[in-house]
Amino acid sequence: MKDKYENERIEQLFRAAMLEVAKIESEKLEQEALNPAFLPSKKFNRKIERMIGIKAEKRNWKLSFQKLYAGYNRLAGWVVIAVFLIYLFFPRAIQNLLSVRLIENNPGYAQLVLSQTNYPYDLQLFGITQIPVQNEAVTVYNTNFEVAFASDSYQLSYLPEGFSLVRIENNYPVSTFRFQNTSRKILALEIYDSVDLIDFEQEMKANSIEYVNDKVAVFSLNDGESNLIWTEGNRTFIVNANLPKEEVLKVAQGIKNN
Amino acid sequence: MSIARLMPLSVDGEDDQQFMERIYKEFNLLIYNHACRYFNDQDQIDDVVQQSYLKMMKYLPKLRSLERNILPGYIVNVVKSVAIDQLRKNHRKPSVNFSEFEDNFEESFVNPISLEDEDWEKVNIRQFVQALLKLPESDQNILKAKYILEWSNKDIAGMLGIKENALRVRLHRAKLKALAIYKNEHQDER
Repeated sequence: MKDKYENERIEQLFRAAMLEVAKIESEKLEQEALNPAFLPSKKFNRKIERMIGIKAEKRNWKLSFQKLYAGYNRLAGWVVIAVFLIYLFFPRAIQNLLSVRLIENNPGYAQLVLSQTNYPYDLQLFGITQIPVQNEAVTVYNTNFEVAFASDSYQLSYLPEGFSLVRIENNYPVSTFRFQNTSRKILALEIYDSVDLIDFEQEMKANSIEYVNDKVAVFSLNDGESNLIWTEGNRTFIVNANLPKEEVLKVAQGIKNN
Repeated sequence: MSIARLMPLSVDGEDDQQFMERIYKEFNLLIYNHACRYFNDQDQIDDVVQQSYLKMMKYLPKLRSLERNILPGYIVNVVKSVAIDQLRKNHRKPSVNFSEFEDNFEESFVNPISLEDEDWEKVNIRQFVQALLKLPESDQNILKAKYILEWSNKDIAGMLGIKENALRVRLHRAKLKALAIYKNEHQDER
């Protein structure tokens, strides 16, 4: 180190080299820091925080609420977007899903939207069995309903206690109306746009011949399931239920054409 | 290597307290874990950590100017220096100490060399870094305190428990050793 200039050069050399040493050390330390062997206590951390001057954060209820609200809004937004996208690609599935939920939660009320759209997808994937229909939208409340294929309107003046309409299936030439009570017993009314359904074989299975509003009806009982079939005008009616014959007859006789 | 690591940790408009808060959040575990290397006693660990923070606050402008990729090295050297100081005060021989100077170090070279005719402007920095890393840890610690921490001679001498004159001698010897190692290893390349 001969003179001042050379000393300065050496100082610069050491400064630059030691910074490189620090970089090399830092890389190792960054790796080490990923797996700390010791953790300071919260009490000690608070002591350090006080020393540095970090104030303990007081709970800001207004801010907390705003954050919660913003989070809720975000979540709600994503749900809406997700529902919209599903609806976009599977409109019928969503409609049916909503209908099923609505029916399950409101036993006294049923609504089914029928559209002219054909099904480009398999509804079985969604656990929903629904026959495609080709009719305009129909809304049904309790026991007033329309027969889709002829715009006829019928009303049930008698329905066994506890039963309510839960489902309509329109598949020409038949409209099916299903009722259910709280113990999950089913009563189904089928109205056919045809009079060719009572054949000889059915008559042979008949347990008895009954009358519904002066029309001859065939009653059969199979495994506790009552089945009553008769024709009236251009229609064939079938009432099917896990109910005694008397109840089924009352239902049949209560069907009025408005 | 990310660009963020090459930037100073300090950001515009951030006051000293906010900066220290970020140092605390990012490096507190590192500081604590390095303090634990020197002591088993919890009170002494706590003391070292607190003293390290106080030292960093004292040299805050320097700390704020450092690139992010140097900070861990800088901070750990602060902890190490404080711990050594603490050990010295406890009259205990530290596992890493500054008293390992070998008086006959220069004589230990097989081929003694002269530093007078070296052109120090043409030194390969990478090779010189390797020479520095071959120094005894005690010498490395003095050089780190001087050139990385940029502590004053008074602070370094205080840490070592020696007078400033003695520190200057040790510093000079440490530098000579590093230069000698470098020259000895690379004299054939010139």
